[in-house]
Amino acid sequence: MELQRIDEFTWEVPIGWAEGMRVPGRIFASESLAAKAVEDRGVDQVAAVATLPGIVDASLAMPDIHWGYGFPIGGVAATDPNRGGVVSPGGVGFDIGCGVRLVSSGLSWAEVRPKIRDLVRALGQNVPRGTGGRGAMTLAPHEMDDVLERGVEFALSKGIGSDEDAELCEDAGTLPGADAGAISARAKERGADQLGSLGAGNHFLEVQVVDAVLDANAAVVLGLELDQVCVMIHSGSRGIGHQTCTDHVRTIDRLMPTLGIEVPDRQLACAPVEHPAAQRYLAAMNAAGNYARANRHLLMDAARDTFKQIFRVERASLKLIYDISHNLAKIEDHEVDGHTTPLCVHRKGATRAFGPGHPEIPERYRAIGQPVIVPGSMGTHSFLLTGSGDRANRSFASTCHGAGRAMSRTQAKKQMDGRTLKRDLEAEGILIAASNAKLLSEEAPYAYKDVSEVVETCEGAGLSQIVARLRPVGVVKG
Amino acid sequence: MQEGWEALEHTADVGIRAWGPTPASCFRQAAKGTIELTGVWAEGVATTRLALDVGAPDVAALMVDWLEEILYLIDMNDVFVVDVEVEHAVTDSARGALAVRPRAGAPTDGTHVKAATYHRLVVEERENGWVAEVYLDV
Repeated sequence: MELQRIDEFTWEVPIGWAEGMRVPGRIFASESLAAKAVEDRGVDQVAAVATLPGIVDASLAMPDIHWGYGFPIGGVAATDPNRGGVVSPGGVGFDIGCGVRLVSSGLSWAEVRPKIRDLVRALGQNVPRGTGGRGAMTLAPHEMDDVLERGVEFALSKGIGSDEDAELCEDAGTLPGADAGAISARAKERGADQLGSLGAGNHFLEVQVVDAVLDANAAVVLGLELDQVCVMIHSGSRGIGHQTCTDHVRTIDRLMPTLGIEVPDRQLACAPVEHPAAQRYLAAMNAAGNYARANRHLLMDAARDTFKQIFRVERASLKLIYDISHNLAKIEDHEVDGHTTPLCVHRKGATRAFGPGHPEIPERYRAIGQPVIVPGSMGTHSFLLTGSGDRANRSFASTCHGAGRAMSRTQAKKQMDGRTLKRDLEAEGILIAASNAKLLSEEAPYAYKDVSEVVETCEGAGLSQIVARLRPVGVVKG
Repeated sequence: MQEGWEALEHTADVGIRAWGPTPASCFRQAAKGTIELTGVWAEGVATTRLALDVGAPDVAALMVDWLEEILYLIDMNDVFVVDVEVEHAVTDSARGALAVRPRAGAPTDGTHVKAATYHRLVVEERENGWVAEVYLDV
């Protein structure tokens, strides 16, 4: 069986690709990205997700699709709770609420360049990171519950940041429906000393320079201009998210025989949204998502401290542009067969991208569409996009979340050792502060797809529009 | 069948295939593989034993819980592991211990493993012994 091309950037995975598909799959991809999706198991996973009860329209994948576990990375699935639609914790993943925030420094590259080495070195010292690494704040039990239920509001209550920092986050910094009681004691234990830490793997803090503005009007609204220095932060919910996913996949996996639901991969374990186990998962997922937002807020605070230390600027001169998550399931209204219908939209390595005018976009950005931050990989560009209104219904208002991996970690490490990669990147003017240089090549630029092709495909498919391109000049890795 | 393990390729994450003549040996090798991937398998003299005791409705879920318990203990105790002891591993329960020594925040060269998954999960008895395939989220 082969993918069927619907238009230049849309491919259908026909029913029958996998047994039990309730709807077709739909992949937004250029010809070369579609070919890459077929090479690994990503397309098979799109087909597997299409078997979930209550799935609406199609099992979707964004152009950065690649093989994940259960869901593909880049996968989007909307289910209708009123028609037996399910939620699958594996469809959100282990790093619940993982996402990206973009912060403008208010400084130009000409101002930062003479001190870039000092800046990257200081960020390396000031940003907690690494496997299991401790964060900026150790939480007492009552504070942990507060973070889980209030997200960024918790940090503000401690005098860290301003109201504007909450306003410019997805959901104003606090996911509603969070219940700290739905998070296990073990998960809280794992997260107690990690708030304000980057973690490891593909997480990073980068110093970037705006090197192209493609939508001048949106850039003005977002406060971006050419040659401006920004900070991009990619991190998530750390150990608390990993443990929460583990806990709830286990619970629902063991519940499945009583629900009469069969899935082609146990990692797709799911329960009807209205089931108490599903409701408990959603309450826990929202809580872990709040932890992730507070985590990125504290990482931004470390960046503000560092810019103040190096450039003698006011902390408030570093302004949050936006903060988005790319691993969540959310109950959202979407149009189905001409009717507005609440759906449970899973985004596993995909970003919400509401079009202009949507009431959930901060008022100051509402006219241009929701900002979407797409990180590249070390040494490649990152992008700031906005959601498109016209064809957003094709993707349940979703777009890509990054470049998408193209090569395994083992292959990436074989191709080049981390120290050589660091030397090569520094020769290109990209300074690296890494906890472990040996591991750098796992995340090498050549291990990822071409992020420019990914965002251009999203634009071509009508999912989002490119506003600006940013190039890295300093990378802090866990 | 001798016991051992190898890494399985995955675009974003990593898998392990472990094998051994008995369930206990297969569980030991899966544990060893996971610990080696995380970079905290080390030589030396153990100063402490961290108990492992998990139960699950089937042997495949048991393997996931076994590896999850190990990842949790490594994460929370900041240790190097010098040995995995498996007292018993049967269909629905596994017991043993990690023999560990303090790591004290020392850097490792391992991959950061977040969790064990059920994706393409296999734990079964074959002609010559037991084989497990587990994918780990990185």
